[in-house]
Amino acid sequence: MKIVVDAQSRQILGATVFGTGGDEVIHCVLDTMYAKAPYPVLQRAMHIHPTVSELIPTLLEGLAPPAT
Amino acid sequence: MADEHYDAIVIGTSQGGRLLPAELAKAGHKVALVERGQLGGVCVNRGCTPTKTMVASARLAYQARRAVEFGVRTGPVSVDLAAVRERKQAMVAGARQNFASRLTPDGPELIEGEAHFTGPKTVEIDLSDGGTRQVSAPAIVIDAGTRPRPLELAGAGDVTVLDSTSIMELDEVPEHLIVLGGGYIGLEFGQMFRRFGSEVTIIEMGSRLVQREDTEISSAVQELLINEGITLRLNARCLRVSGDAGSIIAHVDCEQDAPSIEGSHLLLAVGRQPNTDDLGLDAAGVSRDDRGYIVVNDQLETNVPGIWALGDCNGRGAFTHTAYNDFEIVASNLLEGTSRRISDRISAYALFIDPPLARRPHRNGGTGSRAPDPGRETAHETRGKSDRKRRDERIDEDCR
Repeated sequence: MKIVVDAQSRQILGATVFGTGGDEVIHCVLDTMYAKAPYPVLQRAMHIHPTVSELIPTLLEGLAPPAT
Repeated sequence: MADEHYDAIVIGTSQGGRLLPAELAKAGHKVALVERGQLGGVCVNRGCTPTKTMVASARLAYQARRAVEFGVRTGPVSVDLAAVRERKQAMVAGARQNFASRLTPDGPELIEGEAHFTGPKTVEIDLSDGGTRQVSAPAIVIDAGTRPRPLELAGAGDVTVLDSTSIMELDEVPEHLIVLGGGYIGLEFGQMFRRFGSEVTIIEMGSRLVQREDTEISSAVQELLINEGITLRLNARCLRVSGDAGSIIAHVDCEQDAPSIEGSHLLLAVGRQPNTDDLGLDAAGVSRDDRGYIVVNDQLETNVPGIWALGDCNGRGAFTHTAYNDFEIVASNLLEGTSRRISDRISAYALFIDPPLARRPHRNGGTGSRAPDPGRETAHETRGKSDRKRRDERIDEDCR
C-alpha cells in the first residue's frame, strides 16, 4: 500500500491499497479526503486490531519525500 | 404518428438511468424510460454482478486447493463451469427482477425499443415488438452505456474470439485461455480462469500490466499472477490469429520468447467503447469527442440545453459508482435546485483480482477540484507491505 500527501497543506493526494480488503480499506482514505481533513487526523485514529485498516495510521508515520 | 409528449425521456436503464426516471416520476413528472436490451445495463447483466459472482466461484476453488495448509481436508478440486454459469445467471436474473419490480404503475413508463433523436426535443423509438413511436420532452437524459471494443485483428474472422460478455457463457473450462490485453478486464478474467483450471497466457503489448498504475504496483500484480501459474507475455503485440475450433494461434511481434502462442480459447480484452453511434445525436446537435463519448459540462449537461448524459457514455467515469454519482448530481440539481458538480467528487476505483487493488489516483487525471497545482506541490510518500500473515489468517473469512 501507498499514500501520497501534500507536505504543505497536509492533505492526502492519492493512495493505492493492493491486498486483502483493499477495496474496503481505501474508503478510510477517501472519506478523510472528502472531510478535507489533514492526514494527521487519520494518523491518530485508533483502528481495530487485527484488521488491514489498522495499518493505515501506522503507514502514515512513514511519510517522507519520495526517493528519486 | 403525432408526438406523444412527456416531461422527461430517459434513454437506457443502467445505474443512473434506472434511478433517475423513478425519482422524476415520484416528483410528479411524466417520464418515458426507453431500453433496447435488458433492464439494468452493463453492471447488472454483463459487468459487476456476473463477473463478481464468478470471481467468488474462482476464489472458492483457489481456497479449496489451499485447504490443507489450513488443516482442512478436501478431495480433489475441480470446477463445473456450467454450474458456475447457472449460479451467475441466477444472480443476474435476481438483480434484473429487482430492477423490474421497482417499475411500478405510478412510476416511469417503460418503452422497450431503440431510441434515436430526430431533433433536440424529439426521439423516435423503433419498438422491440415492431412499429415506431415518436416522443418528445423538454428534458432528455442519455444513459446509453458502453460495449466491448472490437479489435481489427487479421484472421479474427476465422476463429472464435470471446469478449467479456461471451466468455461468461462458456460451459466448459478452456484448456488454455489466451487473453489479449493486460488491463483490468483481462486480468480479472485471466486470474478467474486460471483458478477454474485453465492454463492462461496474457499478451500485453506494453512493458507491464495495468499501465495506469504506478510501476511498483504493476510489478506486485505481475508477481501475484505469475505465482498463480499465469504466463505473461509483455512487450508482445498480437499481429494476427489463425487456427480453428479448439486450436487458436496468436502470432506476436516480440523480441524474446516464442513468436506464436497456441491456445484453445481467445479472449479479447482491449477496452470498451460508448454506445453513442445509433442515437442520432447529430439530429439533436449533441457533440461527441473523438472517441465517441458525449461531451458534458460539470453538471452533466451536453452542449444542447435540456439534454444530459449520464454514466459511461459521457466519458467522465467508467464505473457503476460514477454512474450512480452522475444520477445523484442530475437528480439533485433538477429536483432540489442544488448545484452539485462532477468536480466535487474524488475519483477512485478498484481492480477485482484477488486480493483486490483499490486506488485513489494521484496526478493522472480525474483528480477533482481540490488537487493542488502539480508544479507547486511537495508530495511526500509512504509505502508499506500489506500484511501477508494477516491475509493468511483471514483468507477463510473474507470471501465475498
